[in-house]
Amino acid sequence: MVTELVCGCDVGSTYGKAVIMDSTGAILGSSIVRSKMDPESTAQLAIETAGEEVEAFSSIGGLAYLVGTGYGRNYVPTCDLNVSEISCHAMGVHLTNPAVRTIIDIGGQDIKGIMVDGDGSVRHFSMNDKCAAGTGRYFENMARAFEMDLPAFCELALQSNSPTPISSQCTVFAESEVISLLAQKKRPADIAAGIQASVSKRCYTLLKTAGIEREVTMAGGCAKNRGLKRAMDRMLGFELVTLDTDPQLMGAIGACEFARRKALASKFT
Amino acid sequence: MERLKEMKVFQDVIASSKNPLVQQAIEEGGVPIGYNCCMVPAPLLSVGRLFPIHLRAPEVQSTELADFYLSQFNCSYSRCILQAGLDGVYDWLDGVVFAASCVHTQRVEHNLKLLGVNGEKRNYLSYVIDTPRKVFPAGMYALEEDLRTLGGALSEHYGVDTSDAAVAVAIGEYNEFNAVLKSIADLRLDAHPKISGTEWHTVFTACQAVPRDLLLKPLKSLKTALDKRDGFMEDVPRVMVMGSRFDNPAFTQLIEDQGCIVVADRYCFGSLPGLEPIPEDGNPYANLAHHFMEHSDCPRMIEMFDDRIEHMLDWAAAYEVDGVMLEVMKFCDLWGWEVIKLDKACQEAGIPTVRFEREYQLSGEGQLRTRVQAFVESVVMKRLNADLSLRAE
Repeated sequence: MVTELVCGCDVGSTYGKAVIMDSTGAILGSSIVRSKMDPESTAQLAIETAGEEVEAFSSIGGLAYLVGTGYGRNYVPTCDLNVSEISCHAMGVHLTNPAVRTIIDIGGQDIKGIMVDGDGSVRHFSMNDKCAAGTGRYFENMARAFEMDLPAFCELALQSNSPTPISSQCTVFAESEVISLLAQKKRPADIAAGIQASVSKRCYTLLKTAGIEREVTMAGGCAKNRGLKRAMDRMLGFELVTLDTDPQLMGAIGACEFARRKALASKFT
Repeated sequence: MERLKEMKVFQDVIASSKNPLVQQAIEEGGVPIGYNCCMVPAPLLSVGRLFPIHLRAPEVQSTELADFYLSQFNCSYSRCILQAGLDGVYDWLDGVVFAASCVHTQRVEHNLKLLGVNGEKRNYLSYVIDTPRKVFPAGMYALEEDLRTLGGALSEHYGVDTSDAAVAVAIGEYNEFNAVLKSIADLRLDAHPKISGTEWHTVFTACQAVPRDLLLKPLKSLKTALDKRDGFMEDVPRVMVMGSRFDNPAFTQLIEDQGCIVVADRYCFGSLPGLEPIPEDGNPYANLAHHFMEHSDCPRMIEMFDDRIEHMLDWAAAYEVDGVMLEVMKFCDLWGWEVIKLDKACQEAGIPTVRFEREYQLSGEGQLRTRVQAFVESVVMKRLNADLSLRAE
């Protein structure tokens, strides 16, 4: 029997993600690839990389239904439908943990606070404006100022019990502030913790705008940042729920679920 | 919906400030007067050879000079209009009339004057109407007197007749034009609107960017074509857009491209309210004062907040909207506060909303598209879920 495959592809500004499911909703393959200059190539690479994990996958054209999401959603090749990443993250997290009602999604270039209803639909959302403060790009810049790779920088804050306050939210000014704090021989771990605390405040204000209802989780690549998670836990006064599946894949999982539902619906109409 | 060739004239005139119809009117001896706000009584700027132009800045891409003279904390509309003035975009205007409606745009008038924009022109008039912030008898009397002073200044500068009789004629012509506009606007009330939000936005903006008498015939032709057209049949959410000055239909196009139709608009440069006829009996200056104060629904007006909420809810019901989009231009003080209260009122009434901040020029399209699309998707999902639960019952 030929397995009917559906795919969700989340083309982000820094990473492309793809998830392939069968008609039962079982995840058969997934991928996370660094974004290329051209979103179409990113999407193609992400889908084909995910396809390598799936025996029944032959080509993008062979998928029963393909949903694109993320900033490059309009450029996913042979895409049947594009859905906003806000709806996809809500659905992806809902599938992964239906108890979650609030999501903070930190992507490469934006932050979103999303309130989810019990059916996985979006109740409210808020989003940062044209500013990279607190996004994945921001953390990459900060790691560069510390001359560290990103994972090491994210862990650094865990060594601090006394964060150094960072007053600048702007990516450019914060980098200057951090460089001068490092020059003043402040403890790098304390500065790193200050950066995480500063971002957590920004996330908190977005969450407050969308509404906060437990359970709360983080999605997107920055959800893997343990230093940020600790700062968010402190800011909220309770612990964020950790997702069982890679939080960076939530948008692609949601997109894939929409693809699965569309494929099923088209069979019965 | 099929494309209408009758739309072309409207699309052409909004592409630039000095559009072909403006040029034609000037060549025929018309006197263009710029104005900043829908609280400026346009009929008074239409007497005799005068014609009013609602100031826009479609040509301006960046505002370095205006940022210097104003500040980066002024709204981008103000900065763009000042920049347009400094760039010579409006060197064909013979005067400007500003309403003291918001501090940002008022500062534009001051700067234009201080910097001598068009100051070399003999008889160039720069006038600020001292618009009151609430409707009460003494304030309305003062406004009427102010409009009479403006009428006197127009007469003195341009040699036009601004007598009561002449202003009454201008009001009559204004009403005649608005009646045609309203007959088109009302098509949006239909279950299957015959005009999209983008088309309406284009038409309405064009009507403020040219001498109206030159657009009356194209407007009537458009109405005839629309009457013959099939309505919009796709089952997509109907939305109302509310907020700050919004004079670029590309924004509406972007919104509608995400799978909805804009059926109602309550923003500066928008059509709700304001298309109601101005009384033609009695004192024309008093009629202008009352009409433009009582039919603006501008958030600058104090003691009228409950009315504005009521109007919003009435429009939402009349136009059968599935959601309201609240847009605020960055640093717009008035709408910045207003949308918070409107948002709350919508939520209490069970109307889905989305709020977004934007600049005057279309920019940050990716993020705007994501917000609008997510909102439309959430409305669609809620409708689907509601249908399913109804069927289950």
